[in-house]
Amino acid sequence: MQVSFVARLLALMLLFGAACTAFAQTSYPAKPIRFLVGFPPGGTNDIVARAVAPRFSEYLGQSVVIENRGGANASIATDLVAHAAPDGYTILLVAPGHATNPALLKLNFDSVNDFAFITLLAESQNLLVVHPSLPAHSVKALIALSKRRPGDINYGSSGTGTTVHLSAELFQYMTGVKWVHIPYKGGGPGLIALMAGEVSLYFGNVPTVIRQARAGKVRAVATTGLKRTPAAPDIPTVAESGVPGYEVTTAYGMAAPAKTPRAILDRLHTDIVRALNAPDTRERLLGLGADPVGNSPEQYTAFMKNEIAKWAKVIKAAGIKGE
Amino acid sequence: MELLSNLALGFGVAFSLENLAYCFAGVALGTLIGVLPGVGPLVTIAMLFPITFHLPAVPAIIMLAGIFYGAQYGGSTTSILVNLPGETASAVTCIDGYQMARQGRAGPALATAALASFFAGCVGTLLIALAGPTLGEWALKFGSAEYTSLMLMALVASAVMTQGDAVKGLAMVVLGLLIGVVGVDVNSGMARYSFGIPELVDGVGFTVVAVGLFAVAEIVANLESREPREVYTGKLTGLMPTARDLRDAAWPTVRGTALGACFGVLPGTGPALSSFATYMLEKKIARDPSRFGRGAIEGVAAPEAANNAAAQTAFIPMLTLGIPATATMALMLAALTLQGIATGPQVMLDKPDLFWGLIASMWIGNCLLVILNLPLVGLWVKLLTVPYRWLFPSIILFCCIGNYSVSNNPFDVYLCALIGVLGYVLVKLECEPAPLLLGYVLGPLLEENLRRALLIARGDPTVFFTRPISAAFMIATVVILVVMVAPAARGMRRGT
Repeated sequence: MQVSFVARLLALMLLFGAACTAFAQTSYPAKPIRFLVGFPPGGTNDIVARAVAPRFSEYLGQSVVIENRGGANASIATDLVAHAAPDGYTILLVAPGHATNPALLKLNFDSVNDFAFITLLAESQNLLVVHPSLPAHSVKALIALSKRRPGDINYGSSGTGTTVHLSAELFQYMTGVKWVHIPYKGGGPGLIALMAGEVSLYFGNVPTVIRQARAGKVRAVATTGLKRTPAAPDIPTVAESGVPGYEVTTAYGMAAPAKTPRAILDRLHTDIVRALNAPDTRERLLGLGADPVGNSPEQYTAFMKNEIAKWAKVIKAAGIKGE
Repeated sequence: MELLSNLALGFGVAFSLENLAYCFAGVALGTLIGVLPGVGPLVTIAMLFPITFHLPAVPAIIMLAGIFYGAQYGGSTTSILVNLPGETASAVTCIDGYQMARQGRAGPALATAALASFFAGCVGTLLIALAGPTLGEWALKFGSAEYTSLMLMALVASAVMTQGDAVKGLAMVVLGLLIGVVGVDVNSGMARYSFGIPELVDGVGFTVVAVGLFAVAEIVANLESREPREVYTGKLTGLMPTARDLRDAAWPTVRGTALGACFGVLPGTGPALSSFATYMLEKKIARDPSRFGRGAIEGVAAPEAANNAAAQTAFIPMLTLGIPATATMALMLAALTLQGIATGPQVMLDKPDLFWGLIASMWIGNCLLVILNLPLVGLWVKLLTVPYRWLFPSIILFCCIGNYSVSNNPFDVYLCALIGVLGYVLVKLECEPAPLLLGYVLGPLLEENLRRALLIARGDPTVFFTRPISAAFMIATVVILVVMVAPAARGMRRGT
């Protein structure tokens, strides 16, 4: 009797073990997922990743581990994901620089074909602010002023090749005005330089600069999106102020290596879109000034192709050379 | 009177049991990560970031701030004990702190570091409370021209850092400048000296250079000598500083605090530069400068006071202007933003409980740090009795972990090993690593600001003399040069 009880127990345990293994083989994800971020902790990229990760982990039923692999405007982390095993356990936070890097850096990967784009997580706009001493209250007035004083007005940026810099380059490209680029190391010093009047213009990330504008330290002129931002519906866009078609968005997305199986991509897409729609995730992203998106892989891929082509043109016209 | 009522509000907030607990957790964790090289406040705050989602804003920021200034405290411990700078700002403490430890005076060195930090922390906090907004506006007066002149002054003064051969010292500064310019040039976006290696595009990290030059090189050099470890502990003389030590350290602490508080307000320069600057100042005004580098207690007290004062005043731009000066500050600001708090010029008025609660908690945090650190001194000193064969591999292990964790990249570990070899060669050539490190810190800053100032002035160099603050630094630079050259010139005249 006793022997048979032990045997039965053993058999049951074996069966359970086998079931577990079988389950693990069929169901993705069976182990934690690496979520690579191309910047050190603290930047907006990192914060976007940390804002979506909790709900994303919860819905996937596996922890999503954020791995910061900084360097070369996110291209080190991007390279790593491009060449990672396409098993769904390594995914990338697609940085805004993904669209501009091909024109600026020598890359060991193809920015489109090496990736399976999953969804656009969030996008934010920049806000054109000027020092209060600059006699320009609108885009039209700014263009007129700039045409009267070519090569006289300085604009600050958070570094060469950043969206802050390229927003101004696109503006010059589309309107024919000439400004002088004064690069700073990071957004903080750039904004401080504007407040101190060292530079006259700055295309800053909306949530950071809007507070300075509301406090009267700088003057808001226009936003860079196609539509007005919900964060400041009273401020017009550059596009509606006489530069039709002008658009700069800072886009954060999610991608996996190109050959990742369809089923895994679908699972990731379903759960990340669900996470983006969770009220607390939405609230966190909106707090950062980023509008949650969550579009289809097809829409996102088309968007990326379009962006890469657009910036290649602007960067070439502006004569910006990278490595 | 308004200040008193504000402070009363602040202490009311900070003394709640919950906030005290988070303050303690923050400073304890900060001390711990300060001891580990490379594992800086940035990485730690990033890891704890999700936790702050579930906390109310006030305890969250109190804890994060505690980690930040706690790390400045802890960073000195390994600098003194094993020549391993745990934090950027404590690299200078290595110079004299480690020598004190070698002379069996690790206890007094650690205690002095803790007390100087405590004093500086209290003064720094008081400054934020009294003059935060004024100092914030003052920081705005520093443009590229002012930074250029300031860096130039610091670079000229760095000649003081060198001991013995001036040519060797100069060579080290230049080597540091060269290492400093590796990576993307801010102005053109071109990568320099990167040899096609993507990891070098962002330059060589401070941790990599400091750990390689100080800790790794020191260990390699030590492996040569068969001197038994017990020598140091045999000479151990008391754990606490003597009355004379305290007297010697008092003024340097005050001066370090003053200088550190000024540097802390300037975005971007912060604690690292402040500790170098005070060290140079102390050495210049000392009656016997030759004691520096051989275990002078002033060389521990002044930089430690400076980096802790800077750590406190670094909050000023963030709290009064709403602009983060460093990546760590950016992360704290983001934590507040995600809590729905609009940090900006209005935060003092909109959220007085947050602002004054944080300030009061910094005071409490500094007290907690002293209470936490002084009893630990004995424990740390005992660490020195660990035999070499255990101690050295552990130090190297921590160096590797620290370097790896900066950007999760094994490349940094290899690079640190390489710089360790360079450091060993320098030890053999009797060249000192400190001027190299200073060149490395100052060089890129000087270049960036010089080019920017000239870009804004459309190439007109008189800008450095027409702006008053910049002109003052330039005059000071000339005075320093004269003071340095004059004795040499007199000596030559007497000689002929």
